[in-house]
Amino acid sequence: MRRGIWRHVRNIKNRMIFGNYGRNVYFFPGVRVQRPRFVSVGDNVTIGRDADIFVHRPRSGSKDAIIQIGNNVHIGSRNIIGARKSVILEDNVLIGPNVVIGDHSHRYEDIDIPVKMQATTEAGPVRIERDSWIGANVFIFPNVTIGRHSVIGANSVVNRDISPYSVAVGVPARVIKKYDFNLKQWVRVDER
Amino acid sequence: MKKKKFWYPIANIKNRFLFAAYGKDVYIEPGVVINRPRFVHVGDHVRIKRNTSINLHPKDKRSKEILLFLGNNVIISESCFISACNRLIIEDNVGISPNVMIIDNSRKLGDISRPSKEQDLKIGHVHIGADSWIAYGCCIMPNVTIGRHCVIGALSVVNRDIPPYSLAIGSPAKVVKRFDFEKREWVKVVGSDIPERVMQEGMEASYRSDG
Repeated sequence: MRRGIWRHVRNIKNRMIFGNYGRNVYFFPGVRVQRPRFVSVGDNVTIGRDADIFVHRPRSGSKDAIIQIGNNVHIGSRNIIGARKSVILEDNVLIGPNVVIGDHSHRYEDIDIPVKMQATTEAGPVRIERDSWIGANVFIFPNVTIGRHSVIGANSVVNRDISPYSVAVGVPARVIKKYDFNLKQWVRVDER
Repeated sequence: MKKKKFWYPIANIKNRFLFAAYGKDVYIEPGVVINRPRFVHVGDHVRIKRNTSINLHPKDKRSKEILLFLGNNVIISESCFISACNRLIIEDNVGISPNVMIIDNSRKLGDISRPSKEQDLKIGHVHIGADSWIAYGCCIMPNVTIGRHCVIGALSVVNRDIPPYSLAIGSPAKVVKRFDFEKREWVKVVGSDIPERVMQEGMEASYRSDG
């Protein structure tokens, strides 16, 4: 794929403003990163068109990375990643288009204030472990860990932890397949 | 708040001529597509983020009716899709997350000799009550009224009315929680249906708080 010569210039600039910035990173046009100081990006990362990455400034004033993106991560177009506490994408994660990953959500309990003006809930860390694949249009809730080498099907809503080596689909996401290390193959499971 | 582009006051002056009504301090980001702004009412402090497309298909192109009404303080996030043919009302203080689709028209399926996309339009209306929050990726179908202060969960499909002060999730959306005005707290709803009486109470309460 042709990627303009300006990316080298942009990479030099980004290396100065990001918390950590690896080699051979490419951001497609329209990627917006708010407060890049708190974002750490590994080597060989690509982030698709119009992705929106935003970080809320930590109250404690620490300068540690809040969003950590590992090596060889590919993030699809129009993704939204919002973080208050921590969002960790480990190495070799593949994320499809239109995925939303947030570690906080809205409160709605007070009926006198509009929902959009109420404070956010307590942030819970989100962690996507090595080699996983997240399909298109997936929504990932706070306090979720997606285990190693697992697959999340398209249009799922993940609201609890997914164990390693499993395939999960649906709203809310249920595990439908798991890797059996004795049989050395993927077997269907009915988790209900 | 994100930095606004420096030319947005100029765009607002231009938009004041194009829209049916245009409030103060509106920020429509670059990349928003509105095909016929003459049929849109925009209230104060509205924000429409990029890649949103708003399509309006009036029956009579020379009429002056308002097809899409956006109240004050409405926020519409990235890559939403809104299509209005008849009446689509979004009241004050509504938040709409990314990738939400809101339509008030669909196709009839009656005639099997013609392709679906060429068949007649089925026109309805959509009403989203004040203070509501519509989470990521929802789809709101025609002829739906969402009450006041509702929360619609992520990736749900709303195809029937949602009573005021309730939380609905799933596809099709079902009410799982509602605000109990006697106990003054949010309670879980058992079963999918809400009794008529409760719905009525909620409606009355919403009118009371309107003043």
